[in-house]
Amino acid sequence: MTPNGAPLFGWAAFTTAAVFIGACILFLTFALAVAVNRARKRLAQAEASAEVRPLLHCALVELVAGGSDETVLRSYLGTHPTDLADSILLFQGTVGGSARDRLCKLALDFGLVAHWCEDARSHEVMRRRMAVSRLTFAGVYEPSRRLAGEVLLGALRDTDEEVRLSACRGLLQTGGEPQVERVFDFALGQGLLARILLSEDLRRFAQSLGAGPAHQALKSGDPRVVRAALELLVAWERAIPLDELRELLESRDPEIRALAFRLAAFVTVNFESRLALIRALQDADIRVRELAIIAIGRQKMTEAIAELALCLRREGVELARYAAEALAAMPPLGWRALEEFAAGTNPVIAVAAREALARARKGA
Amino acid sequence: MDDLALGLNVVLAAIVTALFGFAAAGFHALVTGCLELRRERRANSQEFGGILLKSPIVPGVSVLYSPPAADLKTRATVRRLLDLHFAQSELVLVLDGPSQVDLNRWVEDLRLVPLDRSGNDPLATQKVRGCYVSRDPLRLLVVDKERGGQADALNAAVNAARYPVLALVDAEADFIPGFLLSLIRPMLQDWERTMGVCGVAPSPAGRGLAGQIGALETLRMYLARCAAFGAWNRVAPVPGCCMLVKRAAVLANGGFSGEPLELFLDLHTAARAQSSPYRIAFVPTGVSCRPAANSWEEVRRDVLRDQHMLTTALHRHGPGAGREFLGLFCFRVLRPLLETGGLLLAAVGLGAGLVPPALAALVLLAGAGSGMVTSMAAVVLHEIAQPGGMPPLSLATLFFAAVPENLGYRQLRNLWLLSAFFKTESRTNGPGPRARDESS
Repeated sequence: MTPNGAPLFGWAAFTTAAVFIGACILFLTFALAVAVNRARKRLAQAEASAEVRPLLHCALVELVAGGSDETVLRSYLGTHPTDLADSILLFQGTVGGSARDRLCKLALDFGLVAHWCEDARSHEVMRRRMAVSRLTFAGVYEPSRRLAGEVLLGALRDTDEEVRLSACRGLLQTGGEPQVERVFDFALGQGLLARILLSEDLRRFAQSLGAGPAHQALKSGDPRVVRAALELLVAWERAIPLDELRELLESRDPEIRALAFRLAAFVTVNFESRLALIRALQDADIRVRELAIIAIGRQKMTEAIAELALCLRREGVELARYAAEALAAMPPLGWRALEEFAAGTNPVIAVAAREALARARKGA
Repeated sequence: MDDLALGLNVVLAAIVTALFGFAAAGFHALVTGCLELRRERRANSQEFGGILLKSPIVPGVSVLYSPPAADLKTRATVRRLLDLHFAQSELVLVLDGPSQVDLNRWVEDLRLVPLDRSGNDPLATQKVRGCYVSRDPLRLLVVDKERGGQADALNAAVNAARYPVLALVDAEADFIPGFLLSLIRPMLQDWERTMGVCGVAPSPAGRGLAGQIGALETLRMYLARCAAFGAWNRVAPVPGCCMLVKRAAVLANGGFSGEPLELFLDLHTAARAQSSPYRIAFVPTGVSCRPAANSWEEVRRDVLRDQHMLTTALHRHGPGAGREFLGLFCFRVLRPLLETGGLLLAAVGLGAGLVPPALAALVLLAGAGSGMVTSMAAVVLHEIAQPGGMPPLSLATLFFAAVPENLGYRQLRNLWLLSAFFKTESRTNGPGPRARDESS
């Protein structure tokens, strides 16, 4: 009782659908075969690399130790250039001075540096990234730097963030003042991740940057730039003299203020900033009070002992513990105050005081 | 009789068209997911974990966890959460109405001492009975409160959290200790816009056919619901994932109203309503995954739990969070309904002589055949996107497991999905997480 024409339509539709699905499955099977083949090739390549790498490593160790035999390394240059480059870069964080120069010279002599410079101009982002990060290593060696310097400067304008970051690190290796300031300015305009990554390399230049470019950034009046500069200063954790700290401690921007209080824990603080820190112990914001207590403790501001004792009595347990820690950092006056609290009637304060005192005496 | 036959044939033809439409949409999502995974692989090739671990300006993270019990496995999970690799982190453990025995067990196990914690809590919760810290050097805060359910417990944890970023771990997640370092990266790249991050990897294949089919399930979910939704900026948590979300965003949302999935849907809805530029990022690295399913019972439990979570959240939100979620709802409810109904109608019509055999076969082909293509495509596209994930033999086995998957299991799964959906309407608590098989 099926409608007229339905069987014919049904078979036509079924056949079409079956052929289409069959074709799809065949195509996917072919794609799987290609994928499996590629996976096999990768495995074979990985196995070949695993065989070669120990030999390359041994030869490089000998070279780093003062040897001059490059025969083994040269024999693999044609067949395993990637493995050779990777093996050289394995020493990046472990060797310095003349040993590093020797490795860079090897890379230069073997034409690897020239090859990386070419790759740094590639359209493929992965290739550019790898090339620029390798040039960062080679850039320490002056003859390599002559070849790679312009490439690294150009890479600062790359569309890819990782390439730009590698270029910055490469430029910092050279250590020239204009380059360092350029990287500092670059870091101010980037996201938090870039600042975190560059802060590590910029730390070496903290004093010179703190004296010039950081001051200008803090005085720029642009909250984004000020925040970025403060983040870098906090990340460096260096005792840099900052005249404008008091203004920052009293900023209306809560983020700038919080960063300034974190900074106050280790930078050199003048009389006005010290007063601002003591005043902050009465602030309505609990986070500001906490940061102020920590900063006063780190700066060992004995003139704030009475206020810290008040915090220990008045604040909740968490802040009371910080206050006790701050007092413990200021012997003998701070310890004497803690001894009085430890003998007091309030059990929470007594425990906080006893614990802080015990830790301080243990460390002394 | 002719009218009935005509009507039945037209309905079946419509069902077949709809099923092919669903298959095409599913395939589109898989391809989008594959492209997104490739883009993501190119975008972030370097690991910066070491630097992020040391830097003092990386924002702190409060990990929120409300343990369902105080048994050995839960306590082991808490220990793993205390061992996370991150510079500034704390674990906020909320005990939601524990018995005195359970509380004592926690106090003894973690060497807890009471803490007098005062302050204005921004989110309303059931009464907090007490807070504890450990005498050991653990970055831990334990909140003991009266029972109020999971959302209430998470809200109490948000109140107690001290850092600007909150981390959540799915009950089934098998996570690595460094997951915070991987998940924080999208936030650091774009702090202003990024409200949340989800990270998960597909489960490894388990034992036997059930294990292979379980792996196919997670592979499709990974490509479509994680990667493709990531490309469309519609990321929402899936089973086995780890999440980060900004505390300020949670507070602006008024806290949790249910599972974390509902929070993310709330965030999507609110951001879309305000037309504010926002991002919820997906991190496709192996930070976390659901343990492999090794039996049919485990596969069934995974399907039911996922369906319960999804339908509860999507049912409450409607299309406000984005049309992609509406599509997902159709995939999880309408498609199984159409396919099951179509097969039943085709069988009855064929028996009564009202439906030609070719049309009945076409209904089967539209469901099972297109399902095979989808699952096979998921295997191939995943290999294209993230090559080298599996040895060649495992890859081929998984690929051909799509055949038995769609000839029997798929039809059974449709019934599970429908039963879970209709049960969700009548109860609040879905099936709990699968107990982790320690041997796998």
